[in-house]
Amino acid sequence: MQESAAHEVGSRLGMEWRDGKSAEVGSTRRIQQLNRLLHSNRPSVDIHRTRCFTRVFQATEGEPYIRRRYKACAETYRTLEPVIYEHEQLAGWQGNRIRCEQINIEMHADWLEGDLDQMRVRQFDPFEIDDDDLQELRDVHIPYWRDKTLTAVWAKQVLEPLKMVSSGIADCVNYLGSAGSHFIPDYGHLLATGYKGTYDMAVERAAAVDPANPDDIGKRDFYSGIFEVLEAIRTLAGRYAAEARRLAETETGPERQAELLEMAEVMDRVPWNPARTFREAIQTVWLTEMLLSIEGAGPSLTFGRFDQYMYPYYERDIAEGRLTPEKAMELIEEMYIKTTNIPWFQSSQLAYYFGGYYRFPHLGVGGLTKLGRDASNELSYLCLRAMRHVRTTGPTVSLYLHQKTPDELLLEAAKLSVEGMGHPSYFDVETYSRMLEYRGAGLNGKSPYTREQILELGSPIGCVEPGVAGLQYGHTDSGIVNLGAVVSLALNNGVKPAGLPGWGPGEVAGPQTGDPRNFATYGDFHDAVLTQLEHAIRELHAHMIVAEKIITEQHQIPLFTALSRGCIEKGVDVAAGSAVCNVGPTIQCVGLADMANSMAAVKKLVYEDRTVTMDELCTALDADFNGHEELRLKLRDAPKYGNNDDYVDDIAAEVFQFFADEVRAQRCYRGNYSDPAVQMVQANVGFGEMTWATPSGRHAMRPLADTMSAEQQTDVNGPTAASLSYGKLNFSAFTNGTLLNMWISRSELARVIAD
Amino acid sequence: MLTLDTPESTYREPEYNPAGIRSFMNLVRTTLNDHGVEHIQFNTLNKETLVDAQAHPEKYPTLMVRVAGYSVYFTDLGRRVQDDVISRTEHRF
Repeated sequence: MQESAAHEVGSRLGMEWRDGKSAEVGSTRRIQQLNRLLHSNRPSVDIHRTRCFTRVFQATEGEPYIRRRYKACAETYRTLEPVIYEHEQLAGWQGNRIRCEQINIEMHADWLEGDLDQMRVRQFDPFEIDDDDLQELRDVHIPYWRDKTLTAVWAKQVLEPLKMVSSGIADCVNYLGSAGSHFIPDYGHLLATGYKGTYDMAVERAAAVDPANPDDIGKRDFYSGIFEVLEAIRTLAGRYAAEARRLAETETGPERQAELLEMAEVMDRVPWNPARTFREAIQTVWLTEMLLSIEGAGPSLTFGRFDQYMYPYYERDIAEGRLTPEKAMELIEEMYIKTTNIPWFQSSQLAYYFGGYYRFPHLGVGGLTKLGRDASNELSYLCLRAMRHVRTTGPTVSLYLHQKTPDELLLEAAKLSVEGMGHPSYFDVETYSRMLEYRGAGLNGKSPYTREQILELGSPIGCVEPGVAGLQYGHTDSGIVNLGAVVSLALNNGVKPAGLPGWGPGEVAGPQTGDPRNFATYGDFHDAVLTQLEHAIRELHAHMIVAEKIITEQHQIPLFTALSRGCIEKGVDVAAGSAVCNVGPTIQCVGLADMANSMAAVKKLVYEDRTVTMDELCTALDADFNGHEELRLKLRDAPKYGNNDDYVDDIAAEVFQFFADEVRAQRCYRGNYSDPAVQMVQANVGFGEMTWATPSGRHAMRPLADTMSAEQQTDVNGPTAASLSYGKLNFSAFTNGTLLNMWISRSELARVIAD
Repeated sequence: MLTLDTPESTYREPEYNPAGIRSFMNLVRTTLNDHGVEHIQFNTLNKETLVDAQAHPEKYPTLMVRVAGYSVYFTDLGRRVQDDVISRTEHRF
């Protein structure tokens, strides 16, 4: 895993190069200075949350888990250090330093001990940590938590824990390390009522709890916990207000003094009360996003349809002269900087694959109203334009595109694309809406969402996973099946090739589908592949639902619960299944193009043209094509997905549908069905390293094709042909989303070379 | 078109290729609204830039790329992931 010194890369060096002024960009000097602040600080670890959790849990041994979790969260928020830096307008940092992570010790203690020594110097995603804190983690917190983490508890209850974290065939590492994730809060409702509205409703419901009713067991703990958590958030806001006033007293510049006093007034009011202005509304949103990132260990805490729920405040402020578009954009840029400031804390192994600290926040604009009209407004443009000025990695900014979306807004998005940062993502509103109609509902069902709810509150979570604000909870990036490895198993009678790393090289890892040399027809080979695939999905699912059960019992999340519709009324934590629509654990695939291209090559060369025998193919694969380059070139010449060639696109569409149906047939612990996706970040590289040579002509341990995209360098007929291939897949069956990468040369779009 | 007054900004608009921008917008509309693909995202750099950034990373501290679902500083990626991004197909209209 180490890189050679000559080509040394990684965030450790990247940060050195960016230090100082190189990232000092933004629409105003304030934003430039805040961006500089972001980039001149190394990500670090704060153990405040860890201390609160250990303290509360040690003092409450034997008490109900929900009581302990809620108390620990409340303690964390109530006593969080209020830090305000020069130039800022929005209050709220999740740690005592910039780019600071409040590690979730109850998720990470099992692997943390082994990684602590290299945490400060590791090549990918290093974290600073004080010596004293490091020692305290080692002496106090890790010993208390290491056998209580989700991974540790799960490993004692399942059949093949090692296989499910390191076989390279299927794994659920991301699910085990990130409970509290993948969520769009109901921000529209929160802004309208403040946390006070949720508190008042809880008071009302708590009064109706009947201790003689068995359905109400545990609800007193639930409500008293919710009260404590919401009061803690109110206390925290008050502490920010006091800190702002303290700073204002010694501030000599009258302009900054007025800003600090305004910040104090805003924090006096929100997030406890309803927001009245854009300024108050964006403060409520930011503080909530920040607190969710402390409470949950996982990624994809999503802003959702920011231009919709913020517009009433924007419109009124502009009309009444309290705000200008430039000022609103400055606040949005500040929120982008603060969002980028939240790092994702992962083990060294995962950081190597998912490096960059990114925690998948997502903010989108455009789309339709609940009555089906174009929803875009001036804020849609400002959110896109802000990213051109501020140039942060986060959040992912998206355009929800519909035929009714004005070309002008698409042009605004296209101009952001030209900047070369990878922003924005583009989504088809009708397609993710159809995915949501079938979300979590199995093969023949419909989700509980109405069309109006989908249009009003629906948006992608994290990368591409469809969700509905406040109505959906569950992990949407849980398990992953490697389709390249599945093909390999079918060609090895279920045995994992001996030359591969990880769990079980040379061992039986799938069903014994027979010696491929005896497959008389393409149908025999095809069936063996699908048998392997079905087994991999079911085995992964069996392992994940055990983790799901443990999460419902031991990983309650009060703030997520308070920001979901209906959970306070039910008196049940959202992780335990009280959301309107429970989703996950989900299953996604990597290597779609590799599987389709492999099957097409076998079909054409072995069974139709008969220019290669199965024996020759297996021999060449076993040798990773060493001495068989001629045969490999024949395989490379077979039809390839991404060129609008039905021969292979039909196979891609068939395995896509088979995968979708198998996944949607799996019932989860909370009663919903699993949802399929193809999305996973750069998993194609990591899983590629654990995949032997494939009949697509790909060498062993080379990257697989990324996401649902064509295999590297094989889509040779231009972007429109590639797009036609992709359009043959049945997207509404992929109810957890699909991710597509495409590269358009910069020379096509602009004359100026950036950088 | 939204016009903003941002005299302090560091941002300078590049010189666009109008025909290329139009093709780009058509590609997005077609892929999503006509073919029904849920999501698409783009890298829009030139390959030479990425290759040069691998050789001289210190010259490209803020160069960002899209990996999958998120943007990241190119220098912060592992060599194998960098290689994978570079090995993807660079399309032209």
